[in-house]
Amino acid sequence: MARDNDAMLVEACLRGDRNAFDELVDRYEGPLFSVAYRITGSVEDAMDATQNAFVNAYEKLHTFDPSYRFFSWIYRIAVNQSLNLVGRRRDQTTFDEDAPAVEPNPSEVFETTEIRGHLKRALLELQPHYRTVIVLKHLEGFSYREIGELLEIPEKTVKSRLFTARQRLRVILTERGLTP
Amino acid sequence: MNTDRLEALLWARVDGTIDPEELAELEAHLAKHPEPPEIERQITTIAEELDSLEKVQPPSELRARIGNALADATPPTGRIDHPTTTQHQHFAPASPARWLPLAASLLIGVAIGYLMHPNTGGSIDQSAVTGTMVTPPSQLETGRVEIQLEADAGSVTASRAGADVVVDVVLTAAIDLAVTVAGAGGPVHFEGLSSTNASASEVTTDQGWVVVRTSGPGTVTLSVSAAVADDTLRLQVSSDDIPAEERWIGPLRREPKP
Repeated sequence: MARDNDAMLVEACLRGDRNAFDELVDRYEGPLFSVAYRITGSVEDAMDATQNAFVNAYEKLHTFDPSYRFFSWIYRIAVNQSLNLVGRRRDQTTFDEDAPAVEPNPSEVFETTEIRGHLKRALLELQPHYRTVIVLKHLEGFSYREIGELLEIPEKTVKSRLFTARQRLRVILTERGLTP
Repeated sequence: MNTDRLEALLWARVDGTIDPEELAELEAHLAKHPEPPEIERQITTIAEELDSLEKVQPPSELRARIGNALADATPPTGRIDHPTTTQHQHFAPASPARWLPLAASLLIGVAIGYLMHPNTGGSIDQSAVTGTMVTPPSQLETGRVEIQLEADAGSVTASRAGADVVVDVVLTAAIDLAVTVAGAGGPVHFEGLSSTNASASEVTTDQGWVVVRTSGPGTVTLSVSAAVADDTLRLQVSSDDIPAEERWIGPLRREPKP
């Protein structure tokens, strides 16, 4: 059977094919870890959030409505897992600078270490719900509508929250003289 | 054009969501200011940097961890029917049977925390607070919740949009009032407070809940946000002058897809 889409894999899994869910893990392990890491700021928390998201999705797979996109569903679970972890560990906001990342090309190294490092730290100073919309918009490339679906908030709220998040980010960076 | 408006238009242009009228307004403003405004350079830089933040690769051991966890997980049962297709069915909050015990636990915890908190006290009657803690939520509301205080003392209105809640307190009588906002599934964060009687208003944030204490007459606007976007939130008002009241505010339900 050609299992080239998520819906087929979900159906196969519900018929008892565990390998089908493994394929879903292979597809989404990276994206979910990345978003979890940007929300939690911790490799360990991001691993926990990603693992919990997959386990919850697996155990509740029968509740997934196939008329919707699987990736939206599991992204939402991962985002909620991440926010729950941040909420429980609110005092722990250290950023793991040694996180494994895609290698930048050499010409980008200087600006990556200069501006981007400050930006990452400033991101972690935002409150989690503001940080989350920034991550989903800029790192994951979701539209306002998709972010609204993921967070289950109206699109209008996404826009206003994103505006406030960006404004606060700019203020943080400007106050430290880190913007042009 | 004020800074907020300029910033909103600049970000809309970055996002590609600016409409023709807004673009004309922005370009007219920028034309009057030949030197690119500082804010424009800042937004351009931040947008470029955000968009170029690298994806983070998971540690190699994560895949094995997930595999082990799945091996111990309970396999899904057969698919349940979805007779009507609405997005919120996926993410609907837990049924009352599931969250009522959690809510009851939270209420007891909050009550204990409230009583033990060093800033608790003053003229707020603690028995009024604890008296309402044991009462389970009789109704889950969404959107806007209004509490009319007895003895024509005023009103408390909470407006919820997603995780964000704005609580407007209008006191027409000389009473002391405590307003508490707490979440059933996660903490609530304090976002801001404005008041016509600031000297008589105090905010306490602790244990994941936010309390504002104020004295009337006057008005207070409290902004909070839930860490968990679809959390069920509790709004409570208590005073030694009037009976305490509480309401539960659920997440906004998504409209069915056409």
